[in-house]
Amino acid sequence: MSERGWQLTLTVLAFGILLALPAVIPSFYASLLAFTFAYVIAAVGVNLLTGYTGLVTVGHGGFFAIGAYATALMAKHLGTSVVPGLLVGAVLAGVIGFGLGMICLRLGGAFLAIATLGFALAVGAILNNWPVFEGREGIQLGKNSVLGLQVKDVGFYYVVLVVMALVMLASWSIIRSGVGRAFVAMRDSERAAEAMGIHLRLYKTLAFSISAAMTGAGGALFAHHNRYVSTETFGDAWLSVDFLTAVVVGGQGSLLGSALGAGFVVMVPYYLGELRDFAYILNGVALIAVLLFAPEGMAGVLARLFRRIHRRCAQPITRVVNQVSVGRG
Amino acid sequence: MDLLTVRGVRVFFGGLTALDGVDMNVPAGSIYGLIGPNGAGKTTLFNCISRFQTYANGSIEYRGRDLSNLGPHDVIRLGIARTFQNINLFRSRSTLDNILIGMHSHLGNPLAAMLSLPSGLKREAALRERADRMAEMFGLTDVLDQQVVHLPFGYQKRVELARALAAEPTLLLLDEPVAGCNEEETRELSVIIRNINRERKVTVLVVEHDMSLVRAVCDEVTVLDFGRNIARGSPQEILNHPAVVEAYLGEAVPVRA
Repeated sequence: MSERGWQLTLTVLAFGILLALPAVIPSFYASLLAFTFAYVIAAVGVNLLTGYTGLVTVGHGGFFAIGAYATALMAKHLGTSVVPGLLVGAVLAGVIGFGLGMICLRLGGAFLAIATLGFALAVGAILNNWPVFEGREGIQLGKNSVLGLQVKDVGFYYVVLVVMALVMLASWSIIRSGVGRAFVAMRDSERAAEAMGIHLRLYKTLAFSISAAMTGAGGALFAHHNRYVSTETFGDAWLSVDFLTAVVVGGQGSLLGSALGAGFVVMVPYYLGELRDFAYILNGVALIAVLLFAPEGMAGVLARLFRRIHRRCAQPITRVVNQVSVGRG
Repeated sequence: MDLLTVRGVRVFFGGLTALDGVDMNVPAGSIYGLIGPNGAGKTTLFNCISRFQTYANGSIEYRGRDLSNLGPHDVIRLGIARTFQNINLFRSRSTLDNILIGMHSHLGNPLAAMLSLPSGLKREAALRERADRMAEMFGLTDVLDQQVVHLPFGYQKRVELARALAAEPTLLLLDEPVAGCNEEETRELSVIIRNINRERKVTVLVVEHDMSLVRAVCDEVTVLDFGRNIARGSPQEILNHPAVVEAYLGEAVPVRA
């Protein structure tokens, strides 16, 4: 089987397992996984911008918050449920992402990182101080329903799983298209990309807004998962740092990397339990270790391992085939 | 007929005059050379044409169309493609991807491509087929899936040329194509450049230091020095032109025995 064939098989297998999982695990773990999936969705968005397009963002917690508060306010004032909140949250984040992209167009590298960090902090400050958002008091969301059906832990698990699958599919479709190639081209060489006819302004803002919309969708699901939003979570830039950590540790420019990295940043503090404050230290250590020893992240290390095994298994077979064909000749 | 007409172009960098009213006509179908000593303004003029550099006065017209309001990403749609002086490939990508990115101007509707709509997929398949043919022409078929950074220098040069030609330009701008090449590689590239010109009917404008390449491929040459035209003619005429010899070697001073 080709590497592409393996990739497809393993992806289908992984989603198959995720579909069956709630049948065998307690609903508490299903809920924890749903929480992780919301992070994965956000990380896929961040990876599109930072991993593929090479625009480092330390501000996507802001888009996550926009998605979360959009759906929370809609639920509170209009009584809407998950689907409309999710759509509005994603679109709103996408539009604001477009705006931020326009503003940050001429920035790159560390300057862009700082500008996006500023964005996250500004969003946090607005949430803290504008009474509509209820600051640390927060906004409570009612029971979740999807298309008229009430969903609990396991039901919501499937909702988030489906959205995660769709976001990953969309991301994959973009990446393998000419538009995805243009994103990567801008990362590798802006000058050459321009000479090939890639409109930098257009494609950068496009990357920004798609990425922001995806992260906003993750935020909306996060809000419905917790059924509560407050500046306890959204008031500072830690979410943004979490997402960037997820992408770098998981693997820049890899969908699998987004998933692994998001799993990492959620699970580490969870399993540390009482010691969860040490998670930041662990994340920091992981970041440094990855940048020094495996810049391609967890996904890259896995892929290398897989290729080695694949080659070792494939080798004797080709040898046999060669011998057979030589024997015939 | 002239494909490209440059009239009185001036470029200033602060107080420095990089181009001081340069003229140049590139006839359609020719291989045209732009030469001159270091700092003569060749690359500046080259960048003015490919729109990486703005110019203060004068005009640059391509097929009678003024280029002054266009950006670097626009000119390829008019049929002007370029290469870079010190190989500027998409490092992390394969040979195939580099050629495909070269075809960006033929991508069509980006939304259809992004969403993998049937029309987008059809276009993609067509581009892929053309990329394969392009790779075959440049002898790159064996390295299609290899990351370009790992390719030998000569291969990288060819990927860069294939990428520029992938857009199917009518005017190809080459910025010092044989910089860093040995004699063998220079000869190889001369053959390739001539083939591009003859078989694909592409007009070529080449900025070059290397006289052997200029002599081998150029039909006509413009020589710049200190941002001004100093000579124009066939490579043979140019190499014996007193102003050119002076620009390159300095003024001839009688030597006293």
